[in-house]
Amino acid sequence: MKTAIEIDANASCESLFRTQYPRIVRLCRLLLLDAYEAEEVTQEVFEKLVRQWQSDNTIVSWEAWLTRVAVNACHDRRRSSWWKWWRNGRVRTQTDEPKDHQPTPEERMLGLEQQRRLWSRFQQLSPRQREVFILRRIEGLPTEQVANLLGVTTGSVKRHLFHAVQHLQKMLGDY
Amino acid sequence: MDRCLPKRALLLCAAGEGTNEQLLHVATCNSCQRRYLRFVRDLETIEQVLRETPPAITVTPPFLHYNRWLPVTAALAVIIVLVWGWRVQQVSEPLPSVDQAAKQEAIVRFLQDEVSPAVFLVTPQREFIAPAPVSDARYLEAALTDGWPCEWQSAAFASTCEFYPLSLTFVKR
Repeated sequence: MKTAIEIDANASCESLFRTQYPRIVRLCRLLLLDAYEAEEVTQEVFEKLVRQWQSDNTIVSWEAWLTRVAVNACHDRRRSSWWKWWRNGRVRTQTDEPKDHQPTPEERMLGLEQQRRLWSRFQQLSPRQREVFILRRIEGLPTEQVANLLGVTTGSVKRHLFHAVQHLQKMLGDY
Repeated sequence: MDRCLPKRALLLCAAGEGTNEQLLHVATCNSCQRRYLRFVRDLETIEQVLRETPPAITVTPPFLHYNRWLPVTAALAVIIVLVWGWRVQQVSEPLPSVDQAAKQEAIVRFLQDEVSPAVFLVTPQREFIAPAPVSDARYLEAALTDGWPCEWQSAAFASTCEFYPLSLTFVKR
C-alpha cells in the first residue's frame, strides 16, 4: 500500500511530466533537427527523471535539471547520429506538419515560404550556435547559466549568440 | 556615448546582452532606437517561427540510399575477388613438365599415324589417270584448220574438244 508521501511524489512527477514534456520535446527537436530522435531522447530524459526522482528527490529546480539532461542527451545523440544515419538510411528527417495544423496569425503574416527559408537558415547554424540561441532566446536562460550548461565562457556565449542572430536576421533583411 | 552603436552591439542589445551604457544610448538616440527596434522585431519573428511551427520536411533523395551502399558493395566485390584469386593460386598445383624429346616423338607419331594417311590416302577404288600429251601432228592439223588442239585432253573428250582450263581435273573411274 502506497503511503501519502509516495502518492504525492508520483503526482508531482506526473505533473512535471505533463508540464515539461512539450518543452523538452521542442528543445530536443530544435537541437537535433529531427522529430523522431527528439521524441526518443525526450523519453530517455523522462526515464532518467523517474529514476532520479526515486533515488534523490532533493533537487531544487527540476526544470533546470531536465534542461541540462536534455542538452547532454542531445549531445550524445548527435555524436552517434552518423551511425543512425548509416543504419536507418535517412538524413535528418523532419517531422511532417500535424494533420490538424491550422494556420496561425504568424504564418499568415510571414508566409510558408519565409518560414521554410528561416528553418533552412536555422539548420545552417553550427551546433554550438544553435544551442546557445535556443537556450538563451527560446528557453530564456540567463547567459551565465547557458555558459555553465555548455561548459563555455560567457564571452563565448555572447559571440555565438551574435553570430546566430546575425545569420538568422540577415535572412529577414534579405527577404 | 555619443556615436551610434555598431550593428554587433545593437544585435546583442536586442538579444538581451547589451550593457547598461549601450541601452541608455539606444534610449536616447533615435537612429539607434529605430535599428534596435527593427532587430527586436526580427528576433521576435524568428523565435515565434522556431517555437510554433514545425520544421520543413527534408527527405533523403532515393539515389543516396544506393550511393551509400555503393562503396561497400564495391569493396566487398574486390575482397571476394582477391580471396578467390588467392585460393585458386593456393589450390592449383604446377603442371608436370613434359620431356622435350617425348614431345617431339609424339608429334612425329601423330603426323605419321593421323595426318599422312588423311593427306596421301590411296585407295584401290580411286585411280587418277593422267591425260596423254597432244602430238605435234595435232598442232599442225589444228593450225591448218585455223584452230587449236586440245592439250592434255583425255581421249573421251577428244572429238569435241574445246579449250577448257580445268581439263586436268577430269578423271575416269
